[in-house]
Amino acid sequence: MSPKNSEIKVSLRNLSRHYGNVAALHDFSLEMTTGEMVSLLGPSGCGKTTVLRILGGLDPQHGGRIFVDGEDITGSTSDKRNMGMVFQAYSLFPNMTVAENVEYGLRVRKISPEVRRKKSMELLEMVHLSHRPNAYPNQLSGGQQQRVALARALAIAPKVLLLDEPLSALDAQVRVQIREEIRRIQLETETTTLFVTHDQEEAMSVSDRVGVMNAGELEQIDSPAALYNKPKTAFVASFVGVTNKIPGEIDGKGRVRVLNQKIDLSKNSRSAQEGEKVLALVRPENLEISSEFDTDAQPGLVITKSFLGPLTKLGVDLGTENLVYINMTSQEARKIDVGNRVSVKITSEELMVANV
Amino acid sequence: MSSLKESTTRKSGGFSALLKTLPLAPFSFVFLFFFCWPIFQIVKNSLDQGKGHYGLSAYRLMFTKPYMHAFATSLQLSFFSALTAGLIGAVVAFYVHRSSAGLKSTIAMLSGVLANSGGVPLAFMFIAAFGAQGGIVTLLKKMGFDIYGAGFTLYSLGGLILVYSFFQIPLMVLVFTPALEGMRNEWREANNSLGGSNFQFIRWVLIPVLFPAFLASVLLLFASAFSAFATARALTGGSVGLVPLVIGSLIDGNVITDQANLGDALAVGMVVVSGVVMLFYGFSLRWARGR
Repeated sequence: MSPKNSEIKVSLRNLSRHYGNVAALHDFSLEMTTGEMVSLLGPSGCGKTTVLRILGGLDPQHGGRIFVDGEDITGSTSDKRNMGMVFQAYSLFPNMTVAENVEYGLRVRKISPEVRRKKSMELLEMVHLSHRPNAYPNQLSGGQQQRVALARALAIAPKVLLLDEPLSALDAQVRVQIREEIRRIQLETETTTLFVTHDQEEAMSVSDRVGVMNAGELEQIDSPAALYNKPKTAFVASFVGVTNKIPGEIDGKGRVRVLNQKIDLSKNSRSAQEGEKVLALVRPENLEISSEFDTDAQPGLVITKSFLGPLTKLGVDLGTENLVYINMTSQEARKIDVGNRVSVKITSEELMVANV
Repeated sequence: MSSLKESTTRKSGGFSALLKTLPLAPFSFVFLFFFCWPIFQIVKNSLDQGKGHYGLSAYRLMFTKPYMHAFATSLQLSFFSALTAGLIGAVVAFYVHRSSAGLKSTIAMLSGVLANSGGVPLAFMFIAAFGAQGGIVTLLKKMGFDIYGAGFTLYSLGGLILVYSFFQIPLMVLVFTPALEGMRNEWREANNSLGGSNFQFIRWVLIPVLFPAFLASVLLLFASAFSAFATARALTGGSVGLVPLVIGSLIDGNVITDQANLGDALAVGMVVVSGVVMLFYGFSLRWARGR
């Protein structure tokens, strides 16, 4: 999943944008290497779409600069940037056939009809729609329309491919299928791609790197595995994946007292004062459950049990405000049932903490 | 036994089909009694030559010069007023569509009122403003622009087009705005990101997408102008020969013996013109969609 080339393709430097008094983007910087696929992930209103639209020239920035292939394109208009864009939905021109839609960017560039048709057929082949060149958008399913939009965006051999939540209007099964196709085509064409999504599974499964945004700022950008396993901020830890927030307290040695255990604070965690009440952020797979009594562990009662195939998710009441969720193999989970008394222990050596 | 069951099923199927079509009954009633029946009556009456004789004498008369001239004038008025109001209304609708929500609702409300303000009051309003001694005409004369001296008269085809525009432009704004609301911002942005200019977007996307709605709206204006009666009557008093005015005068009693069915024949002529317009609309729509 590593980028093909370490050459810097896109460099966004200190971008900012505000709507009235609200800062949609604040001092945002990002570099993308050639052929890399970067996803921006974050809650609604975090500024991820704003970044994409600024890069595509569809919205102006109020500060900062944009470089593509080393060239400063900050002031150029969207039609001069040569960036293919796939929107959330409904972006195909309804008066044109599938082939005409794909050919549109080439027609604008005054490419001959024969070359255009050949290129559009190649791209339709790539997105598995070569059998429907004469269909109109309203004759296609949502997934097919997005494939055409992808082919149309790729037809101009874009410097950067911009994907603005292109799967959000599709049903779950089609979404998985199309996202895999997007990744396959992106790798085949080695197109540098910025993918904006609020779906973390989507971002994690197809990207070389994922940037997590919050309140107009980039909290962390890293490989999907590093993002999950080594979050640098409490926001990333709680936003990416499932995280239990278990009440604890900081002791005199800077450790967290939680579930009858004392665990070191993560290097990335914020500093905390002795006696401060905090929420320890613990992944479900970093909790161990046992049906035997353990003085180092926290006793609890199993309230829910959800079978997820190879894994089973248990919800345990540890006397805290919320249930604590624990993942274990379905094989092991056979020994534990709802209503059983159990002991729960944290297995991680260090923890991130968040404010109560 | 099985045939009895089949027959029961068929009966209950028929009953449920009847139930499903029941909501269409009021529409069917209106369609039959307020559309089909009047058309049947005017066709029948147009053929009625009196004393139990039926023939085409009214149609032969209809195809003579004065009545054909009335059709030509009506078509001319409808075409030019629909086109003028259609183009101006489309531009107004476009700017209204891009304006704030508050202005949009104000314009929509105003358009609703103005689109329905035809008839005698409108005619007198225009006479007061644009008549030979009207306020605006007098004002323009004082400023050195004598529009009547230049050949303009309110009581002419040009004058009627001006007056019709008063209610047709708002009507166009009302009927064309929904089509503009259906335009998606993503189309323009996709055009830009693919390197297209605004001109290319207008030429290749905007106009083809909006054309069917524009055509439909203009045809509605055409039909509205073609059948308008009160405004033209009040304004011109019959000096401009339009088909509805001719029919009106025939119905009013200015009927020469043996021509009682002429008004009906002219009405049939109007139905035929409307039918041709609708056919043209259908073909145009298919062409616009199928390109």
